Amino acid sequence: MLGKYIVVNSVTLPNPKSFSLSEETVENVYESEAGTDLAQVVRFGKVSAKATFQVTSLWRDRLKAMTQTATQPVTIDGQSMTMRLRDYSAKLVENSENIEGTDGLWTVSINFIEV
Amino acid sequence: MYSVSADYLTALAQPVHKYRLSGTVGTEAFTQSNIISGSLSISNKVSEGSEIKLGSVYTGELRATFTGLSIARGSWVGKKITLSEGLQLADESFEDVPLGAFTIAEATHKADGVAVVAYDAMTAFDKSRNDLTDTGTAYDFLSLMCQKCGVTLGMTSADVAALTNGTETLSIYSENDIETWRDLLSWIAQTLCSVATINRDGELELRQYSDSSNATIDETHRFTGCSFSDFTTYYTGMSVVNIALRQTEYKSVTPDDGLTYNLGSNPLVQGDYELVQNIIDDFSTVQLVPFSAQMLGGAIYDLCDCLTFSGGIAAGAVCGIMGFTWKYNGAYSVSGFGSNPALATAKSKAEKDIEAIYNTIGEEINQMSVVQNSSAVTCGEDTETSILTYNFEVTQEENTTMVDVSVVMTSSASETEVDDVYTLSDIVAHLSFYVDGSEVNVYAPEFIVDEGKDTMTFNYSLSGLSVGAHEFDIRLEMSGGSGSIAVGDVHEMLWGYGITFEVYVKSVEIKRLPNNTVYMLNSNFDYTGLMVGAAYNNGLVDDVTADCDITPGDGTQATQPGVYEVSVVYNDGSNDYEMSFDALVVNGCFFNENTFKAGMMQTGICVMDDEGNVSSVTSLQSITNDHEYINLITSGSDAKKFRFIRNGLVSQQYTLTKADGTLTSLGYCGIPGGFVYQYKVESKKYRLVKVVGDYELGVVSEEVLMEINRTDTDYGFIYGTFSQYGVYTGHIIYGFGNHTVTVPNGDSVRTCGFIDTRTGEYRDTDFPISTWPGMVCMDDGSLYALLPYKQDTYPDPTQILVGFYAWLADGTEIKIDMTSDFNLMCHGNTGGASAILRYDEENDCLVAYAISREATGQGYNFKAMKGFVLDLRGNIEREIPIPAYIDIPYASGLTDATKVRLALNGSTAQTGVVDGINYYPYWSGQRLLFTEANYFNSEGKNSPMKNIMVNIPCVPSQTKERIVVIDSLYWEDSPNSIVRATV
Repeated sequence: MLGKYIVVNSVTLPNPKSFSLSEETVENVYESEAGTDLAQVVRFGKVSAKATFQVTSLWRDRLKAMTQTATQPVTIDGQSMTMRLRDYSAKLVENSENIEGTDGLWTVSINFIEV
Repeated sequence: MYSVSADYLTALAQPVHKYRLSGTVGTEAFTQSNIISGSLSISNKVSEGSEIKLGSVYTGELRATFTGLSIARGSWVGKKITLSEGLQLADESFEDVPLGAFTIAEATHKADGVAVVAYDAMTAFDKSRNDLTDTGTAYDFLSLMCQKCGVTLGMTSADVAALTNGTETLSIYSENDIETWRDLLSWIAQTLCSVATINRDGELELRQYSDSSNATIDETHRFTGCSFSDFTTYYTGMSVVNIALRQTEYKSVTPDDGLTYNLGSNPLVQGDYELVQNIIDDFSTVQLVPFSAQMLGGAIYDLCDCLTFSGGIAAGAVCGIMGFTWKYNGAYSVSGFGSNPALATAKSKAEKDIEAIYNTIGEEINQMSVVQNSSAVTCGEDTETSILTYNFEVTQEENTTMVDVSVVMTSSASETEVDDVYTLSDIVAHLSFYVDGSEVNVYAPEFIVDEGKDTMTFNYSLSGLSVGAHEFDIRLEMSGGSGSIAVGDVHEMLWGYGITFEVYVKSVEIKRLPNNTVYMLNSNFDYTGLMVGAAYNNGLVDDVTADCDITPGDGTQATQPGVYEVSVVYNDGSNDYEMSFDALVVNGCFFNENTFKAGMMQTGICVMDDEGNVSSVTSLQSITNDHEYINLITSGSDAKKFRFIRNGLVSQQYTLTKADGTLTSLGYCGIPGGFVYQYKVESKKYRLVKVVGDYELGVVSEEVLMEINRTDTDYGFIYGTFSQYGVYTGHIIYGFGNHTVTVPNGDSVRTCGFIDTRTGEYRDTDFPISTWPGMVCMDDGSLYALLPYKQDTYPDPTQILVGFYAWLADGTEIKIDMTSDFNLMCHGNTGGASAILRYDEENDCLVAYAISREATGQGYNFKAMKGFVLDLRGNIEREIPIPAYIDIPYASGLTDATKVRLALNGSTAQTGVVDGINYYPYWSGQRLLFTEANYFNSEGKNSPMKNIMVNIPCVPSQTKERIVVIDSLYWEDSPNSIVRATV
């Protein structure tokens, strides 16, 4: 269902096999002498996402190339942001190397980190 | 504490903060996005270690790593950084707080950005203090140093006056360690019981510590890990070194149960130790707990703010911020320093030792004394020299004396040569003790001392001396080198029983002259600053000034001009000690040697001090050196005599003994090193007189007689100056002739030229001068001359223009016509003009002033009209303001013809109020002369004035006396009216 929503640098990605998204608040937290928290909020809503795709070697290579640039404009669920695509990993689906016309099917996972 | 809104304080009290950052580097703006996380910090302090410091002048430092700014590589250093931190308020808007202004001193390019280190404006005061002003209020000094160093003073005169000793007139003691403006700033801050720092606007500010709390920080608003001392630091005593007497003065409050603060050798409180009492009176009211705490921002607290820490481990500690480190989106660390008064009042080890001896011997100890040498000692090789002598009396047959001695000696080794090999000998000091001239063979210590400064300590005891008076003597003999011992460096503590030590005055001398030894006629002698010291046989010196008989007495009116020998007599109960110093009483022109600047060459009759004050020096023709000038007597029965005035001391009169009929007049020139010259016009020959030593007249050399190889006879005055080396070393004399020509309107103007003694060549210029030029002769032989001359565009004869000439050592001639920028108006047809040119060594530039002279009918008024900074090619770099002018109508018809100083900026219009109650107007043509008035400047500072000449826009009757009420008086830099008054 996310297939039409994840767009990296104007390229709509295949439907992920799994997808998770989280938002983080960047802050420095200190402990007060009374034991309470004292904090400086640097930033709200820093987005991180992790997607896993089961794709052919063709898409595997495209996804890999996306992780090898500094940042990418990414749109997820209609929200545009600049993200770093990192932690690429690819795993061959068992026995898929025999699928004709491909170099096999691959399970590729990528982390999306908003800069 | 920086003033913020109530909303800000509400947001600050919240446990979670959100900040933004904004600022500029040079002209480029930045935000928090341009700062690498955790890299931005600002730190500053006013104290450190274990004491609350006074007089600190620390520099604030900013460190940051910038990224994403388009500043060219190589152009970071020197750029100014300003920044503000904004705290998000409840309505999500931000309120910004400025954090200061810093100048980048270092920039390092790194992978993540450009790491910079920047400092605040305190570093600007690390500038050599090239000013001789040594008297004024703290505000005067602060204003001057800020002006000299290009820093804005962030205080009004009222702000400074509100500080301790802020209204006192301070004098810098001549023996001081002040090299830079920052040194002076430190002493001023200390004298004002304060610290100096740069505020958030980049301005200099003096602050005082306070224990009046600005804010309370409870345990929920500070980080865990804070620490607070369990004692309170406070000071109840203050010591300062008395430089003249080489001893310590101590002031305290009651009860004196706190710490003692040492002011060091503060040169601003010498001789007036009430200033020290004022400092400790105020400083003792501050009681602060040393601490270290961290909290969230925002950075609204300032150095010297007071915080109360409540709850938790703090228990209401009242603390002063003496240092802070602020990090953007990080901890705001603040700290305060101090030590425990309880420990400071504990007995020292030495005191305990002495006390132990008392306990052992009990009441038999009846004498204890400290003795030190009162004069310096030099001990040559293989020569026995007495280093300390004192007298004592034995009163009982059973007697014992115990002595601890320390000797600080500076020694140098002698060289020995064997077969062309030179080696330094071991330096050995042999000490021996004599009683009544006979050596006591109980102990004769030897020390091998290091070359340079070394300390020898030893002790000995004497017993069984016969009842009666004795003299004890310690002698030193050196081998392998020689040694010298300064005053007070033989220090002996002795005690015993059965003896008494006789302490008596050995000598009395004037340790310090009064602040002023030159007085106007009919003013009162004022001996403030005089110090007479009585030296005792134990080496200690007492200030006995108050016990001296001084004639003429302090406050006596000086009714006759001339040199007074002021007699000072001290009686110690049995003997009179007679001393004296010279005081000069002058009639007419007032001068103050402190306003003259070393290296400034004046010509003609104009002298300008550092602040641009112009004065006439009709009887002080030449400045020859720093603080030295020649009082040349040109008329009357004492003509052709002169005396020297150096540092306020006046020499006897000297006569030019070789005035063998060829001397027609005395010149107006002097040069560093003490040359004057005489010359005769008729033969066009010149002669120099060299002054050697202190006021000793040297030989008038025939060899330096020089003839100008010019064919016509038209030579008049020489206004010239000489190279620093003078003719004795065969370098250059520059002279200006007086070749008079008639110009179309019938006036005569002079041409000028110069002489190069290397070639004997006289060179004319085509540059007509009207009156006295200003000249600077450089060490390399280059001559720079600022020549006022009459413009040839008559019929406006009153217009005086100024041109610039330079003859460089390589022969290059520079001629700059500055008429478009540098004209000045001469007031009155009888007036003239002159110029001042001086070399600003520090900035390597020439500073030029054009001077107008106005005949008042009672004398002359002088006014600096324009000032410029010139480069050494004569190009005008910028105009500089004329800070003041002096108006000196040395009116012979007035009984109170005293100094007149109109301390007004002539460059911009100013308003002021004249207190017109106490004047009597004197008509002089179109002008009013007020014998007394007060001028209040824009900050309310009152400057009493005398003999103020005011132009009146109408011509009143000169035959009738009339009462004139001036309801306002203002000044403007208008060509035709210096001063106007509404009558």
